[in-house]
Amino acid sequence: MSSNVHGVKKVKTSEEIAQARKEKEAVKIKEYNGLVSKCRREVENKNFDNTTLKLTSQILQYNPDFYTIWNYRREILLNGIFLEMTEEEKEATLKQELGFFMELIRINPKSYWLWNHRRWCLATMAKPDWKQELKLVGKMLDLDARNFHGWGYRRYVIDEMTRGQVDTQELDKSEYEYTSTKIKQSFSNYSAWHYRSKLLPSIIKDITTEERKAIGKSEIDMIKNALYTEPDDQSAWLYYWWLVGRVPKDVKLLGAYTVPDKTSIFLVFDDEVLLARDINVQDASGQKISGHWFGVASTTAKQPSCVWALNANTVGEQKWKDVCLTAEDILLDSPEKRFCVPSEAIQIKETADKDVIALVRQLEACPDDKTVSVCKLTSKREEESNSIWQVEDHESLLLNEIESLEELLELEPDSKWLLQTMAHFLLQLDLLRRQQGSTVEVESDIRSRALKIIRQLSSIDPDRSQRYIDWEHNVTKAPLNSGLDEINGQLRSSIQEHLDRK
Amino acid sequence: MSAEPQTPAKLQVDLHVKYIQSLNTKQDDLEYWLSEHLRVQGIYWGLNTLDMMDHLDALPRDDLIKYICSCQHENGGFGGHIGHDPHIQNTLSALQVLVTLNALDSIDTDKVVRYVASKQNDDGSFRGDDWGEVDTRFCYIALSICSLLKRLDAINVDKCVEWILKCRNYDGGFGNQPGAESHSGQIFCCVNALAIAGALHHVDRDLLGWWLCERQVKNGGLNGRPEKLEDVCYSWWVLSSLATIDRLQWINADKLTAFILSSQDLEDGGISDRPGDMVDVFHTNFGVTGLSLLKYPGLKAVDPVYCMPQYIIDSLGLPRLHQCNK
Repeated sequence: MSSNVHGVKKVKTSEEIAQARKEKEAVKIKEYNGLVSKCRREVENKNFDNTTLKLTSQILQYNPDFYTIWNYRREILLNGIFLEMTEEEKEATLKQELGFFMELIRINPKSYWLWNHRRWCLATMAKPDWKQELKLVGKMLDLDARNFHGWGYRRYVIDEMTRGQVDTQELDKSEYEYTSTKIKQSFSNYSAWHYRSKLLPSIIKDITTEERKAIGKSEIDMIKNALYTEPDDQSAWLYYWWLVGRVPKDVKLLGAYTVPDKTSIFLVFDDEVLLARDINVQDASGQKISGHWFGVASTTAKQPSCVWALNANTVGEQKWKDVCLTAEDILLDSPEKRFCVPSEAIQIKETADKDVIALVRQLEACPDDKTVSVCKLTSKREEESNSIWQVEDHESLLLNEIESLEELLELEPDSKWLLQTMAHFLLQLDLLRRQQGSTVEVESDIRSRALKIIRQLSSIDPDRSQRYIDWEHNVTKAPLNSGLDEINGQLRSSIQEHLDRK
Repeated sequence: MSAEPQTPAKLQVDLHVKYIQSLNTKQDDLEYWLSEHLRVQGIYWGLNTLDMMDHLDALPRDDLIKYICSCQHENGGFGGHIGHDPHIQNTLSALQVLVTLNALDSIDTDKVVRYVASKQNDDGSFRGDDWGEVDTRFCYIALSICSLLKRLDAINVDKCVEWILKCRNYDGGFGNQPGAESHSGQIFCCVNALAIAGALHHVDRDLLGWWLCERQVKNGGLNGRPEKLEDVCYSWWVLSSLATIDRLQWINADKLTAFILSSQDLEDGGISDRPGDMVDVFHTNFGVTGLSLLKYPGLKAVDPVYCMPQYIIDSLGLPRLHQCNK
């Protein structure tokens, strides 16, 4: 979208002024349309010369977003003007193009087409001066420290400078220092914090544990500096969450179930999952049973569900035996979760719950055409470790950070960013300890403190109260366990919900 | 414009209809000519707004179809106006207009699919046109076009998903290219591209939902990035992303509704980026579609993935990839 529709005040004008402006505009319209039709004619006639190039300049000065004219301009250069030039002359012409960019970018710093043209010029040049480009984009970011075209251009220049190099660390290091400078100029420079997050993994590559520790400490120091200066600025807080990292949540299969004389089996998980492919289910003779897999009560097609059903092809007396699951079978809805692969085949159990049996009968009576069976996506999530620089163990890191947040909390008792970070760190600690099998009393202490903060947040930040309510609900909802009563309850509610949707 | 009202006016449907109808009569304004390259997109914005307000017939159907068809090139792509070069963005708008008017049979859709498929790079990303700009916007556009035409088989969806995931950031959001900062407009594109691809499980819904709901500023409006000004168009980019990941309740709907309504021009119709500014059809569309997600009375339900009325997506037989409009 052209940026000239943003932030233009509507001004009430008198009839006379409006009339005068109309007359003035009429002259401009005539000139502009004249230029456009002349330019088109020349391009149609393949007059790719300096006169046509000049026409494009005039039009683009009026309208730098007229992308077709930029295309003409490149065509005129490539298929006309350049043909009779030496390499040096071409290079000089392209430099003029860069000058033309500078002229227009002042008027419209957010035009995609302008930036595209500059990239094309540099890609076409025999010897582009990337160092000069880096200087230029530095100046632009001095003028507008958040311009995302500017930041994107900066990354492009750096990519070009490191093209073909195996070791990019030196340049990454100077860019990392550049983000420090930008952040120190303004702690709210989200763009700079973001860029820093992309550089840090390269900075800590191939260094000693001691060096990592030092970098970790300096990162935390810089964050603390920002938090104490501007506790309500979200930029440093989000970076902080990322840096401290998250404890992966374990997701488990609770069991595989069937009902007497039916052709369906159900896999029940303790969290929502997606199946990446058909699961290997075997009958008593070791034969694979095939059929139609679908998410039960999966809220929409292709969305994760806690309960997955297999409607087997062969109707009749199936003798189910067991289910084999591998890591490749399951996709989770968050990179922060990990699936605990069962160490052996899961025996299929029969449930005799009358309600479940009745519901399964209904489910089988109306085959589902709408539910997409299995997400066929093969691409797998890359391994991500957020706290990649991290060398200390996660628990002591969390304890340290919670302790230091307590101090800030005394100064800023109502900062919503501080409070939710505190709640988050506490819950992380709780999760970590539970997954390590810690005692109940300690964890419930931590958890109830976190819950108290989350409820407090609801009143401090009422616009987002539903988020805090959902958060609280997620923390307090009892984890599903594999007791048959609970499984029956889960099956009843899922299948009922599924049927209700149809 | 008169002083900003304390209680915002209701949605001025009649004024907005008139405003949209008037757009093609402003040949006296230089802006009319300077925005020619946006004509096809402008028609989509205008027509979509009209359909949301149940005034689809306010623009002449046959003329629109004829005009849109005349913007198609031999290679299947559409230009922004007659004689303008083809671009994937205009191609989506053209298609959306034809789908809305139930007139897909007036073009060769296979040619469109071939054009879109020819823009995919080996790494899965898409170019906007022959000059090669790469952006997550174009992934969304390609997936949306192929999905509307039920030809997702014509492109490499998995590769495209793989590339989009390279654009994911620590805040759960997405940028326009790998390494780029999260931006609500790009998040709209990536989240909904992933929804179409059946790959929404790659989105950390709680983390991204948090970032998105923090876009709401004190006056109720939404911004596109932290510490930036609020703007009516983010009522769409942010809100539809929240809707697709089922976190629509995480913002204050009443305050946002009031913000959008107070950005209306109560004299001449249309909606602007924020109260008191000049209106345009782009913000008018995204203001109205935003209001629809907020369940503003009298508006048709919108599909957050395609930014078109739900009834159209349903009538194409496409699955609902979100949980709104039950």
